[in-house]
Amino acid sequence: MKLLVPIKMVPNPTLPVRMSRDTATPQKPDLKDIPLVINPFDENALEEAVLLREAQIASNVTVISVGPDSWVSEMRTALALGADKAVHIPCDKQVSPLTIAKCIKQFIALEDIQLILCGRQGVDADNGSVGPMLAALLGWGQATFVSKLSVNGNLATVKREVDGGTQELTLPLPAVITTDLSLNTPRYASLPNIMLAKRKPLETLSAQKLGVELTHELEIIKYQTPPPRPPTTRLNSVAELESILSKKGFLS
Amino acid sequence: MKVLLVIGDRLGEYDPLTVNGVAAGLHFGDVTVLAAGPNSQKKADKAAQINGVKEVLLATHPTLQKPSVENLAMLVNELTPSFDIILAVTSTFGSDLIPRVAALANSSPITGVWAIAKDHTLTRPINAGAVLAQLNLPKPPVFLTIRPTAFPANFISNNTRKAKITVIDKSYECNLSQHKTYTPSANVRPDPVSAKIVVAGGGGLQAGGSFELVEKLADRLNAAVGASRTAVDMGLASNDLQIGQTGRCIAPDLYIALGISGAIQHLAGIKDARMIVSINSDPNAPLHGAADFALTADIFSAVPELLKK
Ligand SMILES: Cc1cc2nc3c(=O)[nH]c(=O)nc-3n(C[C@H](O)[C@H](O)[C@H](O)COP(=O)(O)OP(=O)(O)OC[C@H]3O[C@@H](n4cnc5c(N)ncnc54)[C@H](O)[C@@H]3O)c2cc1C
Ligand SMILES: Nc1ncnc2c1ncn2[C@@H]1O[C@H](COP(=O)(O)O)[C@@H](O)[C@H]1O
Repeated sequence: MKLLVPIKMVPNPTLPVRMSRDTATPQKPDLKDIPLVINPFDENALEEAVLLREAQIASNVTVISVGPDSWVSEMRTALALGADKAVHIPCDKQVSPLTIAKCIKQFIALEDIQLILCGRQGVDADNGSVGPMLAALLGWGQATFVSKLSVNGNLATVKREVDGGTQELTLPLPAVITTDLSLNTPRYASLPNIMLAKRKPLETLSAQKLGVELTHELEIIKYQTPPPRPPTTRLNSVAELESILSKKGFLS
Repeated sequence: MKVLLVIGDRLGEYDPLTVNGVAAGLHFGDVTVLAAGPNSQKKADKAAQINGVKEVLLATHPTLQKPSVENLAMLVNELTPSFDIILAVTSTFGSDLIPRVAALANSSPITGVWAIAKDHTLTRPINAGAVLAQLNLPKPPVFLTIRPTAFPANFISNNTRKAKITVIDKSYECNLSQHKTYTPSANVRPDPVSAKIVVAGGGGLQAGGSFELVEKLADRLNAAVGASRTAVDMGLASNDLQIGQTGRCIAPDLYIALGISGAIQHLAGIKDARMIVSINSDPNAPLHGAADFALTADIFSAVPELLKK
């Protein structure tokens, strides 16, 4: 069974994003000093795929990225984390989730993929779109926000994190699964594996060759910073807090 | 414009956030709602009473009464040509359904919409809420999920009359995912998304080994309980209580954070809270900076003291 893990790179989420300081309009988020990392949820997806291969349930794990050349070094990281092969579809501009899903769908037409493991959302744009869109385009079943996965023959059994609790469902393969952070704890790339990754295949495939036009139908017209919050009042005692909560009617 | 709102499904029951979906839909025009999944009749009856709902479509076929995102997407796809806007609340239900339906219509969805302007431009937060991005409304059909807390429904009074209910009894079967069970979370308190007061706990609770302190204060204030990711990871709180960028976004009148540092991913979920109180032993905790009122104190002494009052 072959697995596919679509991965995207995002500005390191632990570093703050600020708007560009130059007065050029329109203002944009200034990302140039923030290093790229693999989207955290995609690390969970990759970890789960590698665990399935280590358990000999899967034979092969491919990662695929639709993005600029600056993503390639992190695609090598994905190989060091255990992927067998990486496929890069170069794309220099912002494209819509539909375009990304179409590129990945066309790639699947070339390979015999049984299971796609996606992140539940990219933590840069918080779309959360590509996984279910890919499932729809392929006519496959889907399970989003998955925190537990087991695969038995042609059937996946999953636990989903849903509002108010959890859901258990089964999913015939091929299928698309999107990952919650609680699915697993991703490993770190060891030095020997980083060395080994240099010899693993990293292929380039053009969107044009796949027959997909790189378009963006959801252009952002303006970026803004959220309205600032009022300044903080420092309290000196629990009694002060109690009096504020009482005065505002929260504590009676 | 004609709006189709798909009612959410909360563990097989009516999702009370449906009213917020109606409130968002009314920015565009007439709202028709679709009730499907378990208890679809009950969902339809409730939605029919919301002021502003023009018509309720009720799916009754057994293939649509079980929770199946694939079957439901097939039905919504068939209804799409009759509407301009296809909408759901940004819940795990809406986030599962809307991108699938959008792709079937060869379109990209816009998720987590936070504001709809008079000219119908849409605003949504990105980069963990550090930036607001504004988009033009694309050509119909448009597929949206909306942040429920950003569309308060207090202007919607209950209808005196009931909207018309139209039954759809056709079968839709993809034979894909098969629902087995729902397991409700251990949380017995109100849902943090709709609560007026939320008391949340973070990594600072670890020394106590439980969430008891948070729960006691929540009960004293009739509040919901929330948690940071760290508290969820430590097993102190269930996953569905996680507040933040990758958890739930809340907008209570009062938010009290106990032992939460205030990472940007957490702050993303509380930006719309009207009053924020932070209790943390570290005077430099970022949450102190974001709070309206900050108390630098040990929660294990401060909270019991507050409870005595
Ligand atoms: C992709 C991604 C998504 C994420 N999504 C979310 C999300 O949605 N929500 C979320 O919350 N986090 C999220 N996180 C995690 C986030 O980055 C932080 O790690 C997390 O919010 C920290 O939680 P915390 O503040 O409770 O814990 P800690 O960082 O451990 O902070 C504990 C705080 O408690 C204080 N404290 C300790 N003891 C006491 C005491 N006795 N009295 C008073 N104060 C005390 C400390 O001073 C400290 O400030 C995400 C991270 C990533 C990478
Ligand atoms: N450009 C991309 N290339 C490859 N995979 C992607 C890309 N964008 C998104 N994905 C995948 O889709 C998931 C959801 O992304 P998004 O819809 O952008 O929030 C991510 O976690 C990835 O697994």
